Amino acid sequence: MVSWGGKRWWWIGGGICLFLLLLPIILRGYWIRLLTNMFMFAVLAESVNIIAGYCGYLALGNMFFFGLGAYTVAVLMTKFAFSFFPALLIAGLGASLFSVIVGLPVLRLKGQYFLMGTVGLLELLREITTNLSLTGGGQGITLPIFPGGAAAANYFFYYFMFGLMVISVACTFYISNSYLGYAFRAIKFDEDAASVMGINPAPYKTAAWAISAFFTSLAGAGYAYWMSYIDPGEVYQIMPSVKMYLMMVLGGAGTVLGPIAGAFFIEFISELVWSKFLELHLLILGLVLVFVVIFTPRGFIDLFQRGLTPSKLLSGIKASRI
Amino acid sequence: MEVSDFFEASMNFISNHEKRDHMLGQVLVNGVLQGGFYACIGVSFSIVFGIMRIINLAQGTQIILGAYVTFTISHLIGLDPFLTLPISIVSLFFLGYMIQKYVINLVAKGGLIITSLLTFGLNLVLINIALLIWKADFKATNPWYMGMSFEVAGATIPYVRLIIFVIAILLTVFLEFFFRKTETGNSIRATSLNPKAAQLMGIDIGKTYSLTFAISSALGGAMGTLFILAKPVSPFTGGDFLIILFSVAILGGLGSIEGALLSGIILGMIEAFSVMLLGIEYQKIALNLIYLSILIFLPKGLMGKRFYG
Repeated sequence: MVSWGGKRWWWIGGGICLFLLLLPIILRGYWIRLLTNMFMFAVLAESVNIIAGYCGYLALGNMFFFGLGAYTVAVLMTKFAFSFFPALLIAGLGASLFSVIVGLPVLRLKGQYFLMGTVGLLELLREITTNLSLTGGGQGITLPIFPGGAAAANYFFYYFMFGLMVISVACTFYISNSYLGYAFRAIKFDEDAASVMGINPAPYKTAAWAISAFFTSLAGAGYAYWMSYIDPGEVYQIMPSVKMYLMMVLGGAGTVLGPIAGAFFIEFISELVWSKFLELHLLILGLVLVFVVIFTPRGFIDLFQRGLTPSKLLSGIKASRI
Repeated sequence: MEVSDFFEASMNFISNHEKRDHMLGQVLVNGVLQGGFYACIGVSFSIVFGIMRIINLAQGTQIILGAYVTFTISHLIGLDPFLTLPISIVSLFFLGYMIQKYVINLVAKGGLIITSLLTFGLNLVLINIALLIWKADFKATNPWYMGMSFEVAGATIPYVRLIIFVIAILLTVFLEFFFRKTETGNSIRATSLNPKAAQLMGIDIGKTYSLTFAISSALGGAMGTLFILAKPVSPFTGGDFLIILFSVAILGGLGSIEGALLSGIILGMIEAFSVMLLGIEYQKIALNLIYLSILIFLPKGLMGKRFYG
């Protein structure tokens, strides 16, 4: 974990925040949208970090909260004439409530079974959304366009996603240093031992998933308003879910800032690959996944601590190979 | 679709006796024929899951690769698609062996998240390779006996579907025999029971794992050959199998091939009947709901045991 003791870190963090706040002064269209996308994935990676990195429950289908948030905002804004922020609040709280209700049975599953259960939920919600007339079915739903023109919309969503990222980091930082965080880590390490030590796992697991759902859903809600068009096949995908996990693993699971760094790195690579090698982007992303889990299963920081010589890299593999 | 539409559809169905009696036999036949296929792809996923505790997210794409092997050979040489079965089995066997030996074995002890991410990464790589070679459009085989069928008690049975069913069941039974009666099969079962003890008995774990994965891929390849005879495939078709693979593995129970066979046929029936009763748009919803309820209420499955074998 990054040491948070010194005042130095607060200055560095504050400096980076100020820099990112002022950055739109010099940047234009494409770069603003790219950074907004990076912020969004940072929020997603951080929220998956809370349930998987801290609590050890691998919700591979966590993306369904994203779709849930996106569709809540879309339906409320188009069918019920809500404005954005009340709809946003309902989307976030609704996803948390949904995670609590679904979590009652699903969080009782462990390991592989929980993972497979969340993937099932993702598929189920996609099919339901595709077949409801309220959500516009398979042809998707068009949201009202942000008033004030394209340039204003760019700045609005830049600051929206940036704010969301800062809040999610602050929340994770608070959790990691509180009793809640210790309980999460105890559950990850050994759930039975944690319950023997007086931590009732059920409410803590539910809390972790609800927080994760809240942030994922807000990111989805912002995405829906940003894109102004969504369809079920796009927001309920397993692919971004896997990307979130890749970011978390690459940055370091169970650290505060690791997933953020991972998100920026992976999104940067993705963008580069998309623009240069369009036909190979799946191949390259797949190879990045394979190499990351083989060579840096504990993230960047661990890699730098071990050193970058080939023999050290191979010695890392020896620990987990058969 | 509205809820009222759903009621209307079911009322129509109930009022139409003659049509229903005619349909019932057909739906039953369709369910069983589809179920045999589901059982066999489920077994191919379940052996890796049961023996190595790895969720192989690339299994769907391996099935599709088997289909492409058949497509390519039958188009290049003009060989009958059913006769390409050994070729797709052998080629996928080697692919699976190499993948496990040189990639997955490197992180086999790394935990659930690592192995799942790895298999998903492999899935992406295989999809992209398939995209580069065979392009994104749907490919199908069209042998001369494609549209032929016979009738039993009012139900139409296509010959192709029947042969697919028979081959799938035969392969599953053969696999069960292999695990029970041969020394290699016994060493695989011993490894799944307790890897350390198996190692002390002189079993090479890495080799056993590679062999297991190779068998799973080979079975997947065979299923791909059979699949392309029934439906056209594209590189992204593999993702559609995911829930079926999960459902058969869970409902059948960890480590039981008979269970997988039974649950495959049950799932095929459920799918066929949900189409008849609710309509095709509710088919996947019904399947997913059933999958989730099995996972929650019956995680041990129908014939689950503590270990594979």
